[in-house]
Amino acid sequence: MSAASGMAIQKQSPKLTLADRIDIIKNKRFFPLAFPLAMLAVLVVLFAVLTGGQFLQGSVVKNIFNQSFIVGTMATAVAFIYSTGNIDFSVGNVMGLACVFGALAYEVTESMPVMIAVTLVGGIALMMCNCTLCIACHIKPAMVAIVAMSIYSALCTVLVGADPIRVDYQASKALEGGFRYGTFILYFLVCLILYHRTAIGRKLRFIGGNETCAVQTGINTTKAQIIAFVFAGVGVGLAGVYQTIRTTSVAQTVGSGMGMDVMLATVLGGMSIFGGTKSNVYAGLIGAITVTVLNTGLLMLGVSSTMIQGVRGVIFLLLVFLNSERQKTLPSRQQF
Amino acid sequence: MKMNKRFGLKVASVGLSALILAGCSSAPSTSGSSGSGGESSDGDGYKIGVIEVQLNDESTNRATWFNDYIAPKYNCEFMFSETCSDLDSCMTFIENAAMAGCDAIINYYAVGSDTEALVQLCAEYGMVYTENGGRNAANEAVFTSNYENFAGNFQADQPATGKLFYDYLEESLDTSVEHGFIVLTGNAYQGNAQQTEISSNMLSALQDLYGLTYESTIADLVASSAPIEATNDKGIEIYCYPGAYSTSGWLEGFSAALQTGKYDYSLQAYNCLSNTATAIEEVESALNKDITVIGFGSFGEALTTAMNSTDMFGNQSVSMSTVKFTSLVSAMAFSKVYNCLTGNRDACLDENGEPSVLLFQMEAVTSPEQLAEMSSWDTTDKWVADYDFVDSLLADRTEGLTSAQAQENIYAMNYDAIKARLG
Repeated sequence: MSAASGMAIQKQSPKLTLADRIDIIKNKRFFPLAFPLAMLAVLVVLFAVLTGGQFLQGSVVKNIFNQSFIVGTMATAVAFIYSTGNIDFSVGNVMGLACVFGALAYEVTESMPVMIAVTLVGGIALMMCNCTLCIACHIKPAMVAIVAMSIYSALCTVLVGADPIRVDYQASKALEGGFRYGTFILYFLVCLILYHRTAIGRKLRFIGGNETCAVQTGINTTKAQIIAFVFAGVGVGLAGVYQTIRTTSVAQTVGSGMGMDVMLATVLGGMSIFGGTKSNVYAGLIGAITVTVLNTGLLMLGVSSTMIQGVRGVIFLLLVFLNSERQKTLPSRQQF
Repeated sequence: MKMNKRFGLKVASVGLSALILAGCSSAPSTSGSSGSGGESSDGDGYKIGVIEVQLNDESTNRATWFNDYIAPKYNCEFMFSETCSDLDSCMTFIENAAMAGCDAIINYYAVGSDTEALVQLCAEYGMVYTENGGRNAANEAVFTSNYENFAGNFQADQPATGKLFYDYLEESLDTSVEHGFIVLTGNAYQGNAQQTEISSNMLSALQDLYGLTYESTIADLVASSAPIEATNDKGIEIYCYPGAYSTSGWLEGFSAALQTGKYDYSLQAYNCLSNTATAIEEVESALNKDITVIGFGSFGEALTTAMNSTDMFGNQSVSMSTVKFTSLVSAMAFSKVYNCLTGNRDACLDENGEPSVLLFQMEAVTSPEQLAEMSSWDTTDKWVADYDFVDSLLADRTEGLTSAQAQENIYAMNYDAIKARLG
């Protein structure tokens, strides 16, 4: 009898509610990439319609990319750190100080290649300082970041002084074309391959998902952390170069507050700042472009600046809400 | 939970739609447009982007003057930035303003030596540029490089502003009684011209009144980025305390210095009256010591409250401050870009053919009655810079106008003249 009723249950076709179907879609591997891109596309189409096509003009599109470059590069860089479940919001200050080093080197040599090299090396070296403190003193990167922000900010103030350090305008603008696009594409592709197609990325995501388990499977977390900070350093240094050639001067406040912008871009792009298996390296770039699209689009629509802040805030909340998993259990790194 | 999420989604969607609609529909009311406001408009239509450095009473008043008073009369539209606190954010707004069709930029964030970069950026988009700042060694190149889109700058007459503080100390300070002074030099160490002038004049006044000699030069004391004792041969306690209240630990340091009990005068070269009020009140109460506050200020709730409140000794919380008329300064900025846009750039050049810097004089205010009187002047129904005054700065409405004449007209709009007209 009981066996017969059991058979009857098995014969019933499963009935899925809409919520179940949505859950299934959200668990698909492509979803973390597709959703932020879809949202970005919706915004672009919306603004294109509302501005009568003006939003799709070449100059506007170029403008959006120009404004997204710096945060996008940094967000791509810090994805390596975020993946391991660690947060470093001192990257803005690291970039600032790297810019100062580069600008000072330019002041002495008047050579753009030297400025670029010093900024890049500066970014890597400063990120390695953060990393060394984390590893040697066994301090969480977030705590190191708090201290590093103060130190780097103070150094910027002392080194720059009252007047910003100028870099030649024409030489800087010459680098805004091919050099900037070329280096960014190269860096982004390298990050993409390393992160998604090699053991390096897999190990970093594994550590972010479950560090204890990663250690027990033989992954060297110290080595992984060093690799993460080195790649982050390259990106932060590169963002420093872009910052310098964009503004053609370096002031003592450069980069301050940018760490939060990077974090926001990462979250908007669909990646958890707590890392884990669903992390990706392109989320920050998508997020940075989304922020710029919103700002530019709303301004072009004539929305007042005070309203923009409100509208932007609501859209951010909505995007994060739609792209996040609600917690059914206690918080873990695998969830927002 | 799924229901909650769907419900939340609906609520958020409705909220978002409402906000976007509200934002779009608010545009005409916040950005002036041709024909609105009941005034007859004349002149070509121009769209002008305004970079704001902070959102406060002053910026709100400024937006009202531009949008509700100027826009309909001169057929202009204004677009305001969010708070811009660095060069990068200014550049971003300029780029976005260009995309939104702006013809000119008025920048209230003094970028100093980076002026040239912004002028060049505006030139790329064919926009006119003017900035709230002066002419100094750091931005000299932009004045001499003949940028066709650069209309020159506008700012307060800094030496005159500093002199207001000098004069007040000279009048009010009783040197027969022992006093100690803490001088808040603000961002003078970063080259802020206004704060440098005020700090220097304050220290000069003390030097002259006490006949003392500082061990360091006044320039060095003001330019110090670290707190420094202004040691002198008369042993007067003078402590220069740089930085801004937004800096972590600044207020704590200020409070700690006051708690030493050495200082009974707080001389503030930048606008931090409301930020320091609590710390001063606490120390007055704890040490039973009257602290006199003299500081740079601006019209608004903070100064009104400070002027109208008394400390535990029955004295005004702030003894003297300075104010400026928002519409007067805005008129200078507007005239700069409007003259360029209407093809009258010559009216923005000095006798050497270089872009000029228009100056305005700040006014000292020493009593709540005086503050109330002056506060009532620059409001919606009776702007200090009315149409007659604005016309007197525009070359297409004042025949043969030169920059020097415009400067004369601005200086003529002083306390007495305004009181005679609006008083």
